[in-house]
Parts: sequence; structure tokens; C-alpha cells
Amino acid sequence: MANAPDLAELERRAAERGPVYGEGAHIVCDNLVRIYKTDGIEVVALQGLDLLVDPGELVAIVGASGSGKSTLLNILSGLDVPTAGVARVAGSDLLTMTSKERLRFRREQVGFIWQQTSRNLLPYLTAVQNVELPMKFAGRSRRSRATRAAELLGMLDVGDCANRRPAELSGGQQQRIAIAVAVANEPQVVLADEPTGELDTATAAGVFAALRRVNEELGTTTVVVTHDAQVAERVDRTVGIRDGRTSVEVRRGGGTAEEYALLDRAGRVQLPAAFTEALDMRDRVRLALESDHVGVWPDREETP
Amino acid sequence: MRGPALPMGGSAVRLARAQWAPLAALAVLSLLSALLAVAVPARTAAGYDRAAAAAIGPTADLRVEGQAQGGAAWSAIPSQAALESGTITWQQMLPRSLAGVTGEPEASITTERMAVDGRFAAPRLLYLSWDFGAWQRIRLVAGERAYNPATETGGDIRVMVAKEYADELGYKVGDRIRADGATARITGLYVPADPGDPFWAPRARMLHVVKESLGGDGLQGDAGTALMDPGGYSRVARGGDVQFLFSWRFPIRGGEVDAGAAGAMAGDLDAFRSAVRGHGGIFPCDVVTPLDKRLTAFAGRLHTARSVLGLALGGLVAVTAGVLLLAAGLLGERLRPVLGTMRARGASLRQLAVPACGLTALAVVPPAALGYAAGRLLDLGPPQPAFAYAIAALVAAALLISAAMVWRERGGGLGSVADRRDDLVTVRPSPRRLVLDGLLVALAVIGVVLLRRRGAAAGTDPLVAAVPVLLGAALGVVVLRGYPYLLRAAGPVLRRRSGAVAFLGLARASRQNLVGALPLAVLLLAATVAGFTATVDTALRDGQARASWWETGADARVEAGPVDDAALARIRALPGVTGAVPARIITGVSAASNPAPMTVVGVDLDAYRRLAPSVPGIPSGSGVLLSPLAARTVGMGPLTLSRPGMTPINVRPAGRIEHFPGQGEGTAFAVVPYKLVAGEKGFPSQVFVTGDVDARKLRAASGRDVQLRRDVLRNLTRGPMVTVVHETFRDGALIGGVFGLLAVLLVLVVGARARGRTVAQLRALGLSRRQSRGLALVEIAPVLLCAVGAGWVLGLLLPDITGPVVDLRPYTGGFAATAHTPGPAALLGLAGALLLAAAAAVAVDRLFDTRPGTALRTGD
Repeated sequence: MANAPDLAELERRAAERGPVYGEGAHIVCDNLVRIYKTDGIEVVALQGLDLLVDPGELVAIVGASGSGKSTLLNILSGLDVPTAGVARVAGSDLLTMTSKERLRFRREQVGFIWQQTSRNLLPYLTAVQNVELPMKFAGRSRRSRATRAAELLGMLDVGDCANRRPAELSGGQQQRIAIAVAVANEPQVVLADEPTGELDTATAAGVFAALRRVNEELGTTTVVVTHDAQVAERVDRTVGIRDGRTSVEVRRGGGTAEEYALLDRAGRVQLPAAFTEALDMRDRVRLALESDHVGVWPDREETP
Repeated sequence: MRGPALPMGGSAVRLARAQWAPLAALAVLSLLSALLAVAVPARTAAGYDRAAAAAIGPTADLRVEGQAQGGAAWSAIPSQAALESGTITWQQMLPRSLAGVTGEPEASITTERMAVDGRFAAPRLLYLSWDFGAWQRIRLVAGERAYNPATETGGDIRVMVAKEYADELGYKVGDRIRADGATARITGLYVPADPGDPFWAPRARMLHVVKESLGGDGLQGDAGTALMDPGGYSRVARGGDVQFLFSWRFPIRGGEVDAGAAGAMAGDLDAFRSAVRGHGGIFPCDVVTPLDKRLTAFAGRLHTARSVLGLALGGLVAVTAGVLLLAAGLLGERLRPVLGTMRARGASLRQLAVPACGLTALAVVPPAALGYAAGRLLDLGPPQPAFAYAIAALVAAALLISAAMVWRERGGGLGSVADRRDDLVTVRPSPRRLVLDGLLVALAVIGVVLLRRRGAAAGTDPLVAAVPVLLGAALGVVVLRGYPYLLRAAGPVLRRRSGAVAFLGLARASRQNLVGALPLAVLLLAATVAGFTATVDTALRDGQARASWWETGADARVEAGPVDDAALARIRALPGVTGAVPARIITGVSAASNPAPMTVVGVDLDAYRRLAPSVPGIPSGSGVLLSPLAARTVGMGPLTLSRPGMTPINVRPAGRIEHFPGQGEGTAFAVVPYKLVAGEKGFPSQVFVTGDVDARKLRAASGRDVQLRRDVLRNLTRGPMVTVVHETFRDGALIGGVFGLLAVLLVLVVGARARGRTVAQLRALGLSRRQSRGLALVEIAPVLLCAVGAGWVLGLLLPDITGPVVDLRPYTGGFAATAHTPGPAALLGLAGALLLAAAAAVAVDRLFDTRPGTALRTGD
């Protein structure tokens, strides 16, 4: 037993393996699994999803209905707990949080914007009161609340709506105020679930611009779940989810966009459906390691 | 420091304004519940107290009486001081409950009844009395006060008599009355100083002639009491062997007896009686009072009243609580999105509790306090503290519901993301709910078993009140479980029909979740209360009607005295009389084998049965029937019945008869065919008369006492306790109905906005306005019919289920009254309530009717 490594040795070996997965990222999802049980039937909404979002990034998550993107957002916002895996947002481990930590997380670390305008704002409060509400919960002073609310409403071009109630505002104005509410407590992360889903194209563009401005000016990491192609095209990175996994990623920069398939930590890659259908790939494929790439062929007998 | 959630100016007010409808509903219901919780029990308790006072009666008394003869009497009570010493002794021995309701004691010494010498139209009977109280309450109108010097040993005893008595019998001042060897000389005539003084009520003989029976042959004499002074008593006592009755009378102030005191008095009376009997100071004394019987009868009626009203009020409390909690729950549901958003924005549970519980408290506490105060101000009866606690419990429960609503948000949306429909039809009950349902059903069954085991002894404890609630809740659970299957079964049938309304309505009814089905439980309980009160009320009326037939034997019974054929013909000829059957009553008859006396009732049973088929307990056949006591005494073999003045008759008993109208319970009598005793014209008769008869005319035609069945029935139905029961039943049914309707209305109004949107969508698809009204009816019908039907049936069966608890015999002259059919009034009331609920559904539909354009413009 003399050769057994001590703790220091184990730490050294671990350090030698390179950086921990997701180190430095603001949002870390590692092999995230979420299984629902409804009437005895299990539904696997997320099946080992990996995702990393860096601080200050503006990321769009797209996918078909039922692909698991809303589930992912609910987990990231602390409204749902994953069945297995790792989910960390701004340093908080979402699986092991106590209720007190969860409350602090909601108050200070994340802000949400939902699709339904009615869910974002309390109908009986004015815009400014709605913005002040999270700050009030967090116990900020009256003066700082008023200053911050005025500042945010001004920044989002809805300063003139401060004393109006949601019913007196347009959908776009309501969503801008919802953004102000979400960032009132200066969270590090903003999560938005279809924030422009109920809006027309022009208004949606305005709301997204507001979201972008918040991202740029306040430096908040922003994740937007969306169906809106326009929104998806205006972010630096778009992550596609298919069948509960991240499948593709589009990165934009310098006027070009490049689409990547995502390779997870287990080495899995999802081939785009268009590719598999074009080559009639089913069940099995053949792989071949080349010097600078991996070749994938359909499993077909060579015909003479 | 972090402050409460919404101290920002008027935001709490704005939240309250936004939720004004459920808040107002909750406030009104709290006010009503608190008011009723104070007023109804207080009113019932006041009714019990009134009934207790009425049962005791205004002239009831408690007398300690002892008898002594001549010298022994004189040596025991030689003076007024000795008599008053006896008063003090008995007064000190009176238990507290009795001492509290007795008035000034009245002591008197009265001789035994003495027959007046001479020949008169009717025998004259005289009593001599030394009654200090009477002496003080008279005004002399002729002659002078009777004074017998203590030193006098011979000569007439000077007495005073009432002027009315003297006038009736032709006496005047100075006249001598000889009776049983003593001679009384009238020195003065008096009138009562205050004829209305209740003092005179038990002393009628001192004021005028009173008819007294002499033996069992119906012979009556004219009795009166002459007042003498202590000297007179001394003369009579020392002069012979006259028997004296010493009486210390304690009048009962009936008006001061309440139901609680009546209960205590019954027990204390026995203790007092034992103490008096065991007292060895003077001659043996005993307690004589009508209180025993009255208290026992009252205790029986009170017990029944408390049992049946306990069952009804228990249900009513549950209905009230159910509606209130439903309103609190609906308010909670309305606040849910607000609370959810606040929680998601970082509100702690404490911060959520401030608006949620605060609003509920605002809607519940002040109105409940106001209702309580209003109930106390109405002052309908003695306050019942238990119900004040019930109000507090209700308020606490309402607050607990809002606290539970806050607690539900503890996860801040955790779990709510898997939002799924919990429609009644699709939802699969959780194992926890199964266990809870099973537990509730088991509890109800255990409650019923316990109650039945305890039998008639059960009466006023919380278990009695809890059983109908448990049963209602258990049935509610069963119906809730069966209701989806019913809807599911009805679905395919309605889908095949061409009309869309029935199908749509049923689909929407199926979409109600468990909260929507809660009114079902409330309605069910309300219907149970209504059904129960209806059936018991009907049973009570039927039982009393039977008892009146049992007591009178026909629409009228002409009593006593020989009735000849001419008198019978006169009765039959009276307007309104549809039939008359005579019965010959011969008392004091004995069999050759056994000298025990019995009464022979000669009646044509066939004719009698035809005359009065409603009289219960008259066996078929026409032979000789013996009462149980007579059968035990003389056996069922052939026998000869005879008495002086009657031709002996040989009879062979053919069966038994438990009761015959006019014959006392447990007495020995034989019913024989009329023809056997038709010739015995010297004996009294009874005539059973049917038809709408006028007592005065009947009396004029027959010259005898007449008992009318409707009078007997009126006495039974207008008893104070019966009135309390009827009134409480009526109020209970009414309150239950109103709260049931409120529950329906509450659910309709609260869900009206969402329903309006759905209907607007359907209207956009072509649903007509009329169809929309139909839809409103079809939607509400399944819940309404299931709940009301099941509850009503449970209510009708509740008297049977609870068994001996609902014992109406104290009200029906001992009849076991059962009825499983409610009266027409109750059925009409039920139909009316259902119609009102339907009308409410239509009215709410009309009120919240939105044009498709308005409803669908935003958000969809």
C-alpha cells in the first residue's frame, strides 16, 4: 500500500488533466437529464444535454416544439429541477440549492422574461411599481429603487410609460418593461422564453433590440429561447436543440455564419436530418478516421 | 431591513380592488356565517328555554305534605311558629336548582274531606283550612273575620267562606254547616283581594264550588273550603280524630326555568324527595309535585329536539363552512398568478403571505366580527359560546387556506412547469387521495356504528353533529369518484346526437377540476340537510296525526253518561256529522275467576273500523279482545264478566288489543261486541263521531263532554318544543338552500369571465345566444343533479341510518314515527331551489355575455 497516492497527488493528477468542464462559463449544463412522469408514463425531455455559455454572451436556443428548450430554460431559471446531470448558473449549483439559496438566486442572480406579457407584470401595478417590485423584495432602499427604475425605463425607451398600468400599454411596451423588471436587481443572467412570441415583426425587433442593449450595456449573460428566425439571426451564437440534446450551433461573426454540429463529452454528434435523409442513413453508419477529419458513410453493401 | 411586499402606497388597495368580487363574496359570506352562527343556536336555545318554562307551567308547585290526626297533629304543629319552622326546614333542604326557581313558600293546614249533613241536589263536601296566606289575600264583604279564642273548648267553629261559594249553595252569614260531627258557623263572607293572583290557582275550592268525584261511578259532589284561624285549627285538632293535611307549598316560577335548569331540577327533585322522607322531625312527609312528570316529558322532548336539531345544525355548519372555505379557495385561485409572479421575482414566503393572508383577513375578520356583534345585538336568545369558537375556527380555516396558497408557491414554480390538466374525467386519482377517501368513508361508517350502538342515550354530543357531515362528505367522495364515470358514459351518447349543446355542455362539465367539483360536496351537504329536515318534519306531522287518531278514536269522541238511541239519533242528525258509533263503557267489571276490576268496552268493531279507518292498532275481527293487562289477569280462556247492576256475560277472548281510544295505557279492559252490553243502559257511553263537527253543537245535542281530534292534534303540534323543532327545521332548510345556491352562484360568477371567453370562441364558430344559455344549463346540470340527488336521498335515509337517535316518540304520544317521503312543500322547495340554480346559471351567462370581437381581440 506504500504506492497509494495521497490527496495532494490526486489533486495534482486532476489538475494535469486540464481545465474542469465549463470552467469560466457562466452557464454550465453537463449531461443534463430531465424525466417527467405523467400518469405513469415517463417522458424524457432532456437526454444528456451539454451547454456552455460564457459571461456576457447573448445566446439563442432554437428547436422544434417538444424539443426540450423550455424545459432547459425552466431548469436554468430554478423553476424546475433536473433529474440528473450538472446545471450551474452564475456559480450556483441548481441541483443542490436550498430553498433559501434558490430565493437569493431568483432575487439577485437571474431575471426572467416570459412570453405571456400578463405573466411578466402584475396587472394592478404601474410600470415603475412593477420594476421596483423585485428590488423591494430584495430590500433595496426607496431612493435607489426609484433611481434604478427610472434609469432602466429610460434606457429601454419606456420612461414615458412609468405611471401606466399593463392594460394601458402595448405588447411591445409591456415586454420592454418586463425586461426592466428582469434586470432590476442587476442579475448576472437574463433568461427569456419566447419574449417576442406574442408580438408583430416590427415590435419584436424593437424588443429584441432592447434585450441586446441590456446585454451590451449591463453585460448580462442572456439566453433567449425563440422560434423567431429573425431573433435567432441577430445573436452571436444560436444553439439548436433536438430530442432533448444540443444538436447544432451557428456562430456568427464578421458578417458570416457558420453552422457546427455539436460534439458532446461522450463523443456523440447529431447529424442534421437533411444529411441523413439525403444519404438514406439509418440504424448504422461507418466511420473512418482520416488525418484531419472523420468520414461517415451509410451502412450499405458495395454494389458492383 | 426588508419590508412587507406591498407597502407602496395604494398597491395593496389596488390588489384588493382588482380582486373585489371574490373579496366581497368572502366578506358577505363571513358576515352571514358569523351572524347565523350566533343567531340560530341562540334562537334555538331560547326556544328550548321557552319550552322548558311552558312545560313547567305557570301554576306548577312543589309541596311537602304530611298527614296527622287529631292530637298527634296538634302536638307536632301546635302553633303558627311551628308551621313556619317547618317551612324554614324544608326551604333549607331545597337543592339549589329548586331553591332558585321557587317563590315564597305557602304553608297551610287542611282537614280531610268532610261530608255535609243534610239532603242536597248533589252531595256537599267541606274542608276546613287554616291558610295564613289566604287569610292575607281576602277582603271581607259581609260579617266579620272568623275568630276562635284559644281558651274556647266547645261550641261552633267560626269560619269564613267565599261569597261566590255561599251564593252558589245558598249560605249566608250566621249559617251553620254540620259535617262529620263538627259544626262550622259562617261569620263572614269574603272575596279575593286580587282574583288574578296566581296564589288562588291551586285553591279554587276556597273561592267557589268545585265538583269532586265520589268514588268511581261518576257521582260528583259540591266541594268547598272554609277558612278558619289558628284557634279554629286548635279546636278541631284537640276536639276529635280529624285527619289533617299539612302542606308546605313552594310555587315554581315557571318563567324562570330554562332548559339547563330543568335538567338539573329533575335530578335534584329525587334528592329532595329522599331528604324529606328521611327527615324525622315531625310526622312522615312526602314531596308531591307535578314536576316529575313534566320534567321527564320535557327531558324526552328536549333530548329528541337536541338530537334531530344537532343532526341538522351539524350539517348546516358544514355547509356554511364549506361555502366560506370555497370562497376563500376561489380567492386563493384568483391570487395564484399574482403570487406566482411575485415569487418568481424573488418574494419570500413571508412577503407573499402579507398580501395573500392580509387580503383574506381583511375580507374575513372584520365581517365575522361584525356578524358576531350583530348576532349578539339581535339578542335572539342566550349566547352559545361554543358557536363563537366555531366562528373563530372558520376564520382560522379561511386564513389557513390562504396560507396554504402561499405555501404552494414555496417552490417558486417548482413542479408547476409540468402543468397538466386535472380534469375530473381524465385525472387519475393519486394513491394519497384514494387513502384519504377510504379513510373518510371508514370514519363515516365508524361514526354511524358508534352512534347506533349508543342508541337513544346519544343526544347532544359532537358525534351526533359530526355523523351527518361525515356521511355527507363520504357520499360526496363516492359521488366525486362515480361522477366522472357517469360523464364518461354519457359522452358517447350525446356525441351521437345531432345537437351540439348537450355534447359541448357535457364536455365542459367534464373539464371541471377538483376545485370546481367542491361545490358538489357543499351542495350535497345542503341537500342532505334539506332532505333530512323535510323527512323528519313530515314524520313528525304524520306521527302527531296518528297520535291524535289514537287518542281520540275518531274526529270527535263524546264522553261519559248513558246515551240513549234518541241522543245518538240527535248526534247523527247534526250538520257535518258523517257517522257515529256508540261504545258502552262499564267499569269495575271482574271475572268470576279473578276479582281484579277491569273495564268492559262494548263496541261494534266492524262499524268502528269503517267509521275511523285511520285509528292505528285496531285489530281485524270482531270477537272479544283483551288488553295485555286483562289477558294477564284473567287469561285467554272462556270467562264470565259481571258486576253489580250488570247482566253477567260469557265471553271467549279471541285476541288481544294494545290500545283502545279512551282507555288508559296499561289498564285492564276488554273490548266486547256492542250487542252483548247493548241492554246495559245505566252505564256511561262514548260515541265516536266523524265529520266536520262543531264541538258546541255536539255538546248541545248530547249534553256531555266532547273531545275533538283537531284539538288534540293542535295541542300536540303547538307545543312549544314542537314549534322550536319546526322553526329550526324551516330555518335550517332555508339557510342550507340559500348557502347551496350561494355556492353555485359563487362558482358561476368566479368562473364566468373564463367561461365568457370560451363561449365567445364558440359564438365565433356559430353558437347562437340561445344555445349559449342552453349550454350554461347543461354545464351545471350534472353537478347540480348528482349532488342534490345524492344529498337528498341521504337526507331522507338519515333518520334510518342514525336509527335510535331520531326518536320522535316524545312528540307523538309514544308513536314511532317514520316517513321516507318528504311533504309536498319540501318537494316544491327542492324544485324551486333547482330552478333558481338554473336561473342563476342563465343569468350569469347573460351578465357575462361578451361579444366575440371584444373577448377575442387580445391574447389569442
